[in-house]
Amino acid sequence: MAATSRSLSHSQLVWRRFTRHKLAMAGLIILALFYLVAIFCEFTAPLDPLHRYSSHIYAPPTPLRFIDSEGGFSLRPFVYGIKSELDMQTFRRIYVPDTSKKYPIRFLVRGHEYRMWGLFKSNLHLFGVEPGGSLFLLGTDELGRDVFSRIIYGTRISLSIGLIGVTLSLGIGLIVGGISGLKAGTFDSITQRVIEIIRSVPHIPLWMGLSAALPPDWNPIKVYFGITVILSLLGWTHVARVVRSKFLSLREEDFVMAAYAAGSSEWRIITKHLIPSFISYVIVSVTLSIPGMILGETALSFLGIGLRPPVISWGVLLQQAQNISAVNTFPWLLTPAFFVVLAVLAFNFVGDGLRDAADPYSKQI
Amino acid sequence: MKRLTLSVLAAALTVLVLSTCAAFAYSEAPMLKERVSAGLLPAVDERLPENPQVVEVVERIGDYGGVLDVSSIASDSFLGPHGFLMGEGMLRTDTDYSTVVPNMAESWELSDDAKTLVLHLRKGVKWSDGVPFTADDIMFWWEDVEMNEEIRPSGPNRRVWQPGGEPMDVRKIDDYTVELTFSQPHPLILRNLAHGHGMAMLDWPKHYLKQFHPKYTPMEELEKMVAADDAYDQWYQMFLDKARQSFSVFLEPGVPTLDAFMVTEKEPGLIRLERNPYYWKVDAEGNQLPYIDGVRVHKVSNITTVNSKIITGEEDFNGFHTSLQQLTTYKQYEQQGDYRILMYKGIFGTEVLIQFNQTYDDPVWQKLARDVRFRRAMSLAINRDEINNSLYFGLGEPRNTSVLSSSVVYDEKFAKSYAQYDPDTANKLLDELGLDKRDSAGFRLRPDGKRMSITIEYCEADTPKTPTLELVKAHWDAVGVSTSLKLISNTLETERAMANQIQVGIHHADRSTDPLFFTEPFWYAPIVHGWEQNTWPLWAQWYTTKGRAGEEPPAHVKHLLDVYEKMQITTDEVERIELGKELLRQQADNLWTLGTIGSAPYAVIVKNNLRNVPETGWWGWDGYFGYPYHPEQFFFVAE
Amino acid sequence: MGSYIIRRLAYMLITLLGISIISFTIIQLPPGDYLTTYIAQLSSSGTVVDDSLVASLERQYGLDRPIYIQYFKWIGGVLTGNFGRSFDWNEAVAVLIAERLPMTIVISLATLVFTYLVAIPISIYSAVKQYSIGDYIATVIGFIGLSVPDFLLALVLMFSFYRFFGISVSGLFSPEMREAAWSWAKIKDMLDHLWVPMIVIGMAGTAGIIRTMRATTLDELGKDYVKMARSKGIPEWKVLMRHPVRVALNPIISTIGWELPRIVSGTTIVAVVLNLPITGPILLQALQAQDMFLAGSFILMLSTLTVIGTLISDILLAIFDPRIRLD
Repeated sequence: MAATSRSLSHSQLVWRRFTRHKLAMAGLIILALFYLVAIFCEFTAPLDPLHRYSSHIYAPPTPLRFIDSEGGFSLRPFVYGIKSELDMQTFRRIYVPDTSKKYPIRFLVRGHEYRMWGLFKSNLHLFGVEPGGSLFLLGTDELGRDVFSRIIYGTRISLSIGLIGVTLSLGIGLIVGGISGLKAGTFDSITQRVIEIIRSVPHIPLWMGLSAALPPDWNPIKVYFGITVILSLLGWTHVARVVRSKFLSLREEDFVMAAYAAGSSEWRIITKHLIPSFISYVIVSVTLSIPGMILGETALSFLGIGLRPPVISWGVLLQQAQNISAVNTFPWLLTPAFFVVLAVLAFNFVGDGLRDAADPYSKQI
Repeated sequence: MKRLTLSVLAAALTVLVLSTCAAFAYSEAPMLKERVSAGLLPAVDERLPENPQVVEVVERIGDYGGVLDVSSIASDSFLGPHGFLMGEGMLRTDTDYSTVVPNMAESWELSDDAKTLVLHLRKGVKWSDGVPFTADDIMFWWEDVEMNEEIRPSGPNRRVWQPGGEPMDVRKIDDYTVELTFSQPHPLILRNLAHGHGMAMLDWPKHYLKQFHPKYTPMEELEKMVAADDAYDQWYQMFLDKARQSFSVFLEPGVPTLDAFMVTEKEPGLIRLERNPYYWKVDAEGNQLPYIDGVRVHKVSNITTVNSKIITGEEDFNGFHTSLQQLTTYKQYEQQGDYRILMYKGIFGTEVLIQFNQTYDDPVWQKLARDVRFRRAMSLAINRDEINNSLYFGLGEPRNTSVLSSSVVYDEKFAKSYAQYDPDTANKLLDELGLDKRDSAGFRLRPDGKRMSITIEYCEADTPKTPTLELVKAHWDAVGVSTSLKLISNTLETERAMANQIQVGIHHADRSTDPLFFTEPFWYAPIVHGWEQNTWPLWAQWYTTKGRAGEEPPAHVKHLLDVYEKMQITTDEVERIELGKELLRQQADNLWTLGTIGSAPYAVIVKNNLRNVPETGWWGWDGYFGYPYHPEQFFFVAE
Repeated sequence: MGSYIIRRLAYMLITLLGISIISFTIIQLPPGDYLTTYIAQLSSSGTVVDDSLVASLERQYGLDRPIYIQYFKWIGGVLTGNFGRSFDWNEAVAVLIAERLPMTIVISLATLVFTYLVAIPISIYSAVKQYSIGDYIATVIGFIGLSVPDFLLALVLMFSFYRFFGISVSGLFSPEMREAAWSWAKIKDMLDHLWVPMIVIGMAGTAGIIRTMRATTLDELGKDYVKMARSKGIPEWKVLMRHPVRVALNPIISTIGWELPRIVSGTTIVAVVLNLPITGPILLQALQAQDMFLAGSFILMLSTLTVIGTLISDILLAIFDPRIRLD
């Protein structure tokens, strides 16, 4: 009982310290928003990410307007319809606003139909314009698909890869590191060598070898899990090392010794004493390794060995933007990068804040 | 046959006329002149053959000089952009993309039964080291390479050199005349000699290679050489390596060549070529070609780098790695990069060729894939106009698999067959096939109750596949056939295609113009068993192994094989065209494969100071890229 | 100390053996081998690859032998200094590596120096002026450095420079200098091209160091001896330099052994985008083409560098920080 109340007050303490870290709080809010968007992406995306607006290929972002062509002002932003034509001299599609009709942006509008989580049907969207108007907040891609809605759907895959991958790394790392730290000896020396080998071999060849070895019969969902596993197979070593060294040093601490002397079982000692004493530490290091996973997903896509269309992830979107046209002519195709940066930044801030809060005197390992 | 003899006559006549006008002292590049005066090189008149090939220039007589920069992302094989600058064949295809014209052989006679071909080589042509090129080099190629069991364990290429199953007979008549004899009529040998096979014959300088061959050098000596170099275990490894025939040694310095340029230096990342001082072609004023002094091939690791070099004006010529998708950006930088964009036509009958595997191991699928109504429905469900407008700026031609308009067998109605967008009829046909029940997600159910789903496996090569297939997927999903796409590596595609593991495969329909349609009509009959073939792998295997493996095809497919074989041996050109049309008619009716967009434009990027490049033309493998356009007469405008 | 180093060396040998096996295995993991890649490549431009060509290539390269035999042949060669031959380049692997290594080291060292030059002053400033606007800006920029996918940054920088200044920063030399012999002009030209890769590759490392060093310096600043020194009226920067900064530098200096190999592997993707003549792009190409001796030797080399680097770092750490237990 004493342990529980101690850890409770400890976590309260941590929280209090955490809230004082402004960047960390900002990061937490951003992350909360991101995950909300990811969970409800069918609802938050204004348009169907797979629908092709064939007459709006490579349309630039639709400008949000407050002042109409007659100079009238409205607080509610609106957009004009867009007319397009192809200039065969420059091979550029030219989009001009059609000022004859205004499409105000409204919350909770009815739009295309979707199945929420594949379960129930709805056509309610967080925001959008009336049918007939086109709201491409971040423009469209080579097939005329709405980039903004695609980013929103990509959030679900890219952010969950980070979470699932880290959970896996954490699981493997805790078990291997724990056993290693408790039962020094042969097992420990073997795992130490294995960890050293994995940490020494450059990641790119490992990624390429492993992802090419994924069975070709797998469907996209399985490939998604396969890639998550690959990312975490290389990520667990860090956790394992931390856990091992903590176990090694904690074994000799007084409160553990005392518990042994009092005849507690080993399992009880581990779960009641050892794990709580460094779990905050592990959480911090896990938070800080999620960004690595998210960036890893985009790097895999860059190498052409990650997720592939029609799956939508940030990596896939960025991979499609990796050509001279995206950088020079259609820069809005690069906007997924902004979201990657934002998410990674938020995770880093939160992780940093957690570290400071959990253990203000710790140095970074 | 008449047509062929006529064209031979015409070609011979042209050469005669042109060579008489060129009967004055020849000129050469300043760089060579220096070497001649320094006594390092014989005079140009001695280096040129008796009767050099006279090349007509595109714009004007060129200026000598300049080094051409190109990038290559391919490995060190001939696939890089340098390939077209470096191939010389026995014969050549003209710019009409159909007629066979002289090249190394200045004339030829094909017997009426098409069993004997006499080739007259240009007299006095020399290898790049000055040693004469003669019939002995051809004999060396045939007797000591193709017929050597250690170098070619399973013999020479069957379709080209062993028509009817017997290796041809090659005889040297005199130093400049060679006779090829076949056991059955082989009229298409001329087309083969105008493409890659005709180039492969000229790759074997006997005087250089005999030092690595046991027939001319004692085995003990060869063994010593092999032992001294840890790259080799066997003499034939060394031989092929020295002959630039092993992995990636197409560009090895030091090997004598007949090409316009020869490799002088090779380092990782950069290959340097220099003009061949003994090159055997001149312009109408007697200037020895090539005009350009040399070529630098920069090896880069990805397509984005090539594209960025294009727009920054670092590429002098690129037709290999351009992509229509980047056209807007090429245009945007045309001025800054100081280049021009030439719109050639791609040689693809369809840029994306869809193949339903009729021998795939799934009885329900097999029944569907073999039903012509299914294939028609799937074709009608594709909105080709959308593909054309979205991805090709509307400049391509929505069509089904067939040859292009340059071909003598072209017929518009074959190309347009079932190429219109008609989802209603598609739905009706699918319903009729027993696919009328649907699951909760709206997808059709197969007769066995499973969801009607297909998996397309493909790799990215030659033409862009992913964007088109994303559209096709959407179109098929819309008629209730659940479609998934899987991008795999070239390697994996080769393995899975050969093993009959791909349900729906994708390729690009090259071989849609005359140079290759007659010899390799791969999309119209199961005659090849390789990565390009996913329509009927087991039937193709049966045919290529003469029934030892695979499955015997049904009668209507055997008919296609029959037509193909007749097309190979008939000596009557009119009959050949009829047979070709029969293959196309069968395809148009049965849709063995589906087409999407063909005859699409192809951007060739040329620096503004590089001239004599034709403003337009065909571009691709069928004509060996730039080969018909005489790249040796490209030149840089002197400043 | 001596026995510690010997024990570590023994471990290192075991690790290297494991690495050599892994290096070789991961190249074999994807289906097919170089021959299939080569055939696919030939056919991709239309050549019909017939059985005769396949059979002759297969025999020529002995690719049908069992994997373990190929491994022993390779590792036997490696031990005698022969890394085998690259299929893709038809060149001895050692020659290929040697040709690219100098530039790789130049870029990596330049990046390392850049990283330290930028990171150390910023982190000291950040620690001293904790929670100031400057600190926030430094922290945010540092974090952004950690967050931007490096290939993207490289791509955007490369094109922005061309578009707005007409400068092509792709490669390490401008086209007219690529051919020239070494001279001051060429070195200057290289320096002009060097800084974009330096920034892109160094970005993440810089951010990491700022974070570590700021934290350590902060720790030290909170300690009694600093307060004491301050109360004695010693000028602030002297207080700072005399001890806290030195302590904070220890872990940084001692991790140089890790940093260098990390940078060498970290350059791969950036080098591909920027078309740098260093090892990364060759490694990537070798992996994609399953050019096994080249790829295997590369992986082995990079891993060995890391292992040795780790050992050096650990020894340095042990020297600088006697509190580390040697077990």
